[in-house]
Amino acid sequence: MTYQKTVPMRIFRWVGVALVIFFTAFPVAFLFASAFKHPAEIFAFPPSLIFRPTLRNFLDLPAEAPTFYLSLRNSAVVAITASVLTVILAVPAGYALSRYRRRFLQASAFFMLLVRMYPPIVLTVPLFPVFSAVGLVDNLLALILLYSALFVSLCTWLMKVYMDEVPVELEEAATIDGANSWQRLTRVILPLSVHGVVATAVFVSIFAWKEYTFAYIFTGARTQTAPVVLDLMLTPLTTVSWGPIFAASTLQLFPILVFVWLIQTYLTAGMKTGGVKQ
Amino acid sequence: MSGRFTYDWNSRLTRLWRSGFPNLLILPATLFLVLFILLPAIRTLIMSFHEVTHGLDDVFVGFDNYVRMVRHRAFTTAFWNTMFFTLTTVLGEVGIGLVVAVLLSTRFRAQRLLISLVMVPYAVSEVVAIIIWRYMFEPRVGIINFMLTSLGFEQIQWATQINQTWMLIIILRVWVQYPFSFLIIYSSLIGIPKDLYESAFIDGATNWQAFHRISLPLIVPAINVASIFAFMFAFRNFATVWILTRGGPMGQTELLSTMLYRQSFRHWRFGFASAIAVVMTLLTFAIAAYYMRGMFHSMFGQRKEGV
Repeated sequence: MTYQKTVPMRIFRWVGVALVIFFTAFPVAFLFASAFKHPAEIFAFPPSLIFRPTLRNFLDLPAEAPTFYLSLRNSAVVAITASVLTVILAVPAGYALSRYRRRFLQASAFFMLLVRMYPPIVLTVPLFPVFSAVGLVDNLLALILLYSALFVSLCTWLMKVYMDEVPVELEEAATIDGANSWQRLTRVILPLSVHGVVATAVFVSIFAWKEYTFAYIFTGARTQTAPVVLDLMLTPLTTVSWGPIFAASTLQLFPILVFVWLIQTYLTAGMKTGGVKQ
Repeated sequence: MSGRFTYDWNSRLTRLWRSGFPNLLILPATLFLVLFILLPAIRTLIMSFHEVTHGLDDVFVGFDNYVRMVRHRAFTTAFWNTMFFTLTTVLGEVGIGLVVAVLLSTRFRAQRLLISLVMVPYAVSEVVAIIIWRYMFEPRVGIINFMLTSLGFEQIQWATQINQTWMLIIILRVWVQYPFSFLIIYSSLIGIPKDLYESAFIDGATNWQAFHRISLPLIVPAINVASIFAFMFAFRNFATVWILTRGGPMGQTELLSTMLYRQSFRHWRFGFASAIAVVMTLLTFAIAAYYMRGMFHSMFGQRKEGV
């Protein structure tokens, strides 16, 4: 949007931007700061802006939540595996939708669209008995399969949109040079839509890293992911020990923020062309 | 003669391969979804007409589960709570998303930095969001309650006062979700050609008129998309309310999703829970149906078959 630099507009802009920063960033900054505060200082008022940082909350964490580090590892395993699996399924599917017209493809695409609307929480009811019968409860594989299933349709679509951007002429040239369909996909299309592949993988891994509902229902003591352990820490029988919770939250949140920061150009490009384009 | 026969045979095989290849490409993804979503969905529908007990055969009970569900005391509460939660959070998310999108869509220094900042809550798990906001609203010790006290107001007792529980639920839900609406509306806003504004300003338009007459009509589709997605995500949401209140105090924040969870995984009434599941599915699809049509058409737009 473009605007005229009138006085009320400038005030609106600066006040607005300040409010946005405060509303969005303050809670997260407050969390990170509190993780390094001494337990006695956490609820001090006015909140101490300058304080001597201490690692005490992080040192207390293993005693408070013995499985937290294991849960972080579980989260990482699920996030990485689920995104790889989703990409493997979505790349060929997206390619087919981008380049061919077949009745079966249209039916599949429509089916994927329907599936995207389906409320995931509803799946837990029929799946739980089956998963417990085949040993998928308290098994990370259950989460990997479910997260992929929830994201395959969106990612197929993302891949289709990205591959639509790759000119057909390049493929025709490859065909003339003797490339078959498979070679066209792997040698021409994939390298040119690598942004899409990365964006797809990032979406799935962020989702898997922060997902709570399925992890809460389908995991047991060994396989809990970080959000589930955080939830357990937040609902103890006695009082909540905030210090270790902040330490744990920081360990869960900070890595993903760094990851997203490093990869943000891919991410915004993905949102622009994928989720939004009409 | 035989050479020609071989040639024909080969070309037929090639043609078969050519025509089957695209289908083969999409088959794994489709099968995956059939296995993990379509079959479970069918099973849910069947279970909703049965009494399901672990270890025993299902007993057909007709519409009993649905009748019991409608008569269940918690169902009415859960239904209206879900509607209330959905409407308020969608309004909040899309409203704030729109305002922030307008603020950040003009060119200025540090614009990219601010956009990344606004996207931060997108990466925050609901559990962590709840930890942060609960910490700030904690009675006696939370920073917001401290400020309220020092300004002479009463403290917020979110754990016992139902109105304040809802307030906290809505605030933190909007905080987590508004980046999504922001991004959709923002991408639409920055696509509007600059000339439109410039010529309007030459004709003496005010900033408000420029927004009202130029921006708004052009971003209505994006606002609709954002609203429908926000609606779907809010309607199915389980984590926010469950982590914060477990449906309490006294079941007053029960949603359809938490009721479904409670009936299946606390009381092990899978038939009954399936009835709730079917109702939730139908309500979602009723809202989404309109949008799905448009999306399907856009998916198979004018683009011609390549290769």
